[in-house]
Amino acid sequence: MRDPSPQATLSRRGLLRLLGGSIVVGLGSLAGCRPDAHPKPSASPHVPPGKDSAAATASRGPSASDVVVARVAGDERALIAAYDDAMSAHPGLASRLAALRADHADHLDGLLPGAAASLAASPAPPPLPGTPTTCCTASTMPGSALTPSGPASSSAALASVTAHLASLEHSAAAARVDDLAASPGSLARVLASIGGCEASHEALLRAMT
Amino acid sequence: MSHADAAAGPATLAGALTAIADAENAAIYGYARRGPSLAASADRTVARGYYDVHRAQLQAVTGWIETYAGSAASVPPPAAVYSADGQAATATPADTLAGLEEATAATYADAVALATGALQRAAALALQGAAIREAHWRGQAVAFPGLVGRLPT
Repeated sequence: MRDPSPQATLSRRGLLRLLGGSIVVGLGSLAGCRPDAHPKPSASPHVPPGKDSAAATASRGPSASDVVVARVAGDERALIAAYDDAMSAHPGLASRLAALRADHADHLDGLLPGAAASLAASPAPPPLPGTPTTCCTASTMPGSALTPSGPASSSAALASVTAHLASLEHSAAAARVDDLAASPGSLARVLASIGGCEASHEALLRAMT
Repeated sequence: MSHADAAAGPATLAGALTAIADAENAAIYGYARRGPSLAASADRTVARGYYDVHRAQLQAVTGWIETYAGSAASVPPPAAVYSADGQAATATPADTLAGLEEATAATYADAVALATGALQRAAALALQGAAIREAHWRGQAVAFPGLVGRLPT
């Protein structure tokens, strides 16, 4: 398990405040997980001037940042599914992969509050039209279609799985850089941080074997 | 330089870039001072490589300041000594280096929030490098590198 140091994780409320409330409220209603569809426009005066003015347009339908967040959330869901597949196919890796999966759940929860908790209960909602995920399709997981192959996975199979996950993390980190141009500043800061986490995951996975 | 709100970061791009230079200078100092104290030979080798990376990053950000900040900022000189503020007296060298990487990641995150185009992408990639090094010293990743402990209270 991870060190539960208060410095090591970002609280959901804190992330919401970093993102700016009106962006996330708009996203919540977009994703159908927030029934209160009347965000107070008075949240906007606290948004500093500059790039974050995109937040003020959230009530007019999906904004550019809404689309970015939906895409990133889709990527995070795909990564979580890939880790679930890997941990299921290779229980011996589960303890080492669980912490990495947990980071993606934190990312997803930070972007769409409550989304990670509902992962097991329901399938992911379909992506917004025009927002294909940019990485991380889980269907090609090596070993996920393995027959129950014996008491221990071969080291070659483990290496294949960690290399596959590392490749997904690499693609995700690159996609986060590509997302920046369409993101207001406070969201860009969070996406860059998520990309940093994903780059560090890639390095940790490549060091596992 | 002025120290803006720790959670919100600096208000201007020039301020963000000089903050990166300050953080890189502190990292260079920290690696030189604490890297040789690492117990494992392999870690000392890694630390020498990371020291070189920070020297190169300082050169890069010096160029960014000259290109993007114009007369609004100048490259800050390194301090003679950097305090280990926030570090417990018992912090291991690896703890110290992880903290320095988080601190540099934070300054790149702030630049990402204020920059556009090629500079924004370069800052994001530099944040990724810092996150990789931070995870190396911690032995694990953090979910939001560069944002650790920067929450409004």
